[in-house]
Amino acid sequence: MGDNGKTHCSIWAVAGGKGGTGKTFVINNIAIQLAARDKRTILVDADFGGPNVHTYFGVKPGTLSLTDFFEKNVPLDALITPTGVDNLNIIPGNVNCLASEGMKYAQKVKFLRHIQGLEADYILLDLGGGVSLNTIDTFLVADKMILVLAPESTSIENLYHFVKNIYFRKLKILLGLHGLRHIAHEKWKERKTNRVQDIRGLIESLREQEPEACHLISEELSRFRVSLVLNQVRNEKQISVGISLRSICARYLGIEADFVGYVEHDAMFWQNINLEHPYMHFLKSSRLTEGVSRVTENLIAGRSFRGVRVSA
Amino acid sequence: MKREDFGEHFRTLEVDLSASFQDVRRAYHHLKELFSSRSIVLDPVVDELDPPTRENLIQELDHAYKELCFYFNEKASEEKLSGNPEPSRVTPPPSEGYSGPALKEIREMADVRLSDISLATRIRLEYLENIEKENYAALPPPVFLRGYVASYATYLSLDPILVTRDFMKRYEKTQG
Repeated sequence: MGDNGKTHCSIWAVAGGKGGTGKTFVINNIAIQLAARDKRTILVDADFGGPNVHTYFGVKPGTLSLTDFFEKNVPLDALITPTGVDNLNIIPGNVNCLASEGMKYAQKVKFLRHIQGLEADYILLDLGGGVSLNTIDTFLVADKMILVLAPESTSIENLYHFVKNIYFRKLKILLGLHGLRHIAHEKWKERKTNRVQDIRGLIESLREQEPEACHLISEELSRFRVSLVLNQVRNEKQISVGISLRSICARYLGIEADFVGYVEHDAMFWQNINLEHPYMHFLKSSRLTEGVSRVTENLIAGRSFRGVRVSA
Repeated sequence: MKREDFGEHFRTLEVDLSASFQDVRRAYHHLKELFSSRSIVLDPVVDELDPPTRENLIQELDHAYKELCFYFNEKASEEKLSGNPEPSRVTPPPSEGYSGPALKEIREMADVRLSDISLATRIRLEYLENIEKENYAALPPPVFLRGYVASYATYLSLDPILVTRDFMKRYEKTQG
């Protein structure tokens, strides 16, 4: 990041396995909160399957979008579209593109490179649900990997699945960098006879042959952490889901997951979502703004959730 | 007695080294519940750890909590010797649950007089006595009783939710 003397910007991406947990809602409002703190923020709608960031901000379809970047080589800067919020611009997603999930490898690499070249304090990426490679690789580029989930069994299950997938992808990339992908693959295939139980075991089993590379890989993996945001919280008991997830990810999956906060469910907001400029209604809901504001503060400071009580 | 020497136990319970006893207790109960019962959070990954490993994990939690109870007790005694007011003594939960007699024992170990609790909680002394004796006939209806037991527990730095749960379970058994 920050190549060619460009000001350092921070890339935050949001994903989370399951659809409908409120990823777009959360990242849009984090963007509003960052902008309100005088941070120049660009929100990129990288939900290749179902973009709708523009609708949230009342930006009319028909303005330039990522489709123009992919199909006509229009540079990303040219796609920057103002919203009604100071300091906040968006890059609308692939609105009129068919089969958008089938992005080619070269396109993906170009997209990721160009994103890192954008001029802003914060670049926020809204990724879609699912575990497609495009989503995962875009997610892994981010400085902060934010996962949004709802306190429901289906959402939690998909979250674990997603976390395992991105971790495994990260490992594969690292092994590839050190030229170990092939032996790792063989070891993993024969994991019963090699008595390899999990990813940590796999790295241990490679350590004898490649001590230095394994050291670097373990080090890189130990820095791997995701941030969890719990959305649609309806009562105080549900907050503990976030706290529990941290423990489970660490102990069962060996992955650091910081629980950074929760956002309450507000029925009033959802009644107004179909009106024009939905974000205006977000700003009117103190419950929602408070929740997202705390999450944003924690993300900026690299802090985790600290038992703030949910209002009655 | 240094906090750092107990660092491993603070880590096991996933709290900071600066955590208070209340934080430690909350974390212990949370984790114990999390790993010993079914929940939407645990169910999807339950196959990732075999049952003995999970059993081990629970034992580790118990052990860490016991050690930290010991640490906080010792710390409280040291503070008492040095003249600091109101040391809070802490006790691991009794194995048979919080019965009336168990509560009495904890209270006596903590060197707290029933009349002090009565004064602080404004609960009549005879009710408190009857709570410890489990003399249910002389106690008010459950809606009030639950609140009394919770106040009693809070005064002794016990977890009011756990104490009322155990106590009221015993109470309900006798009511048929």
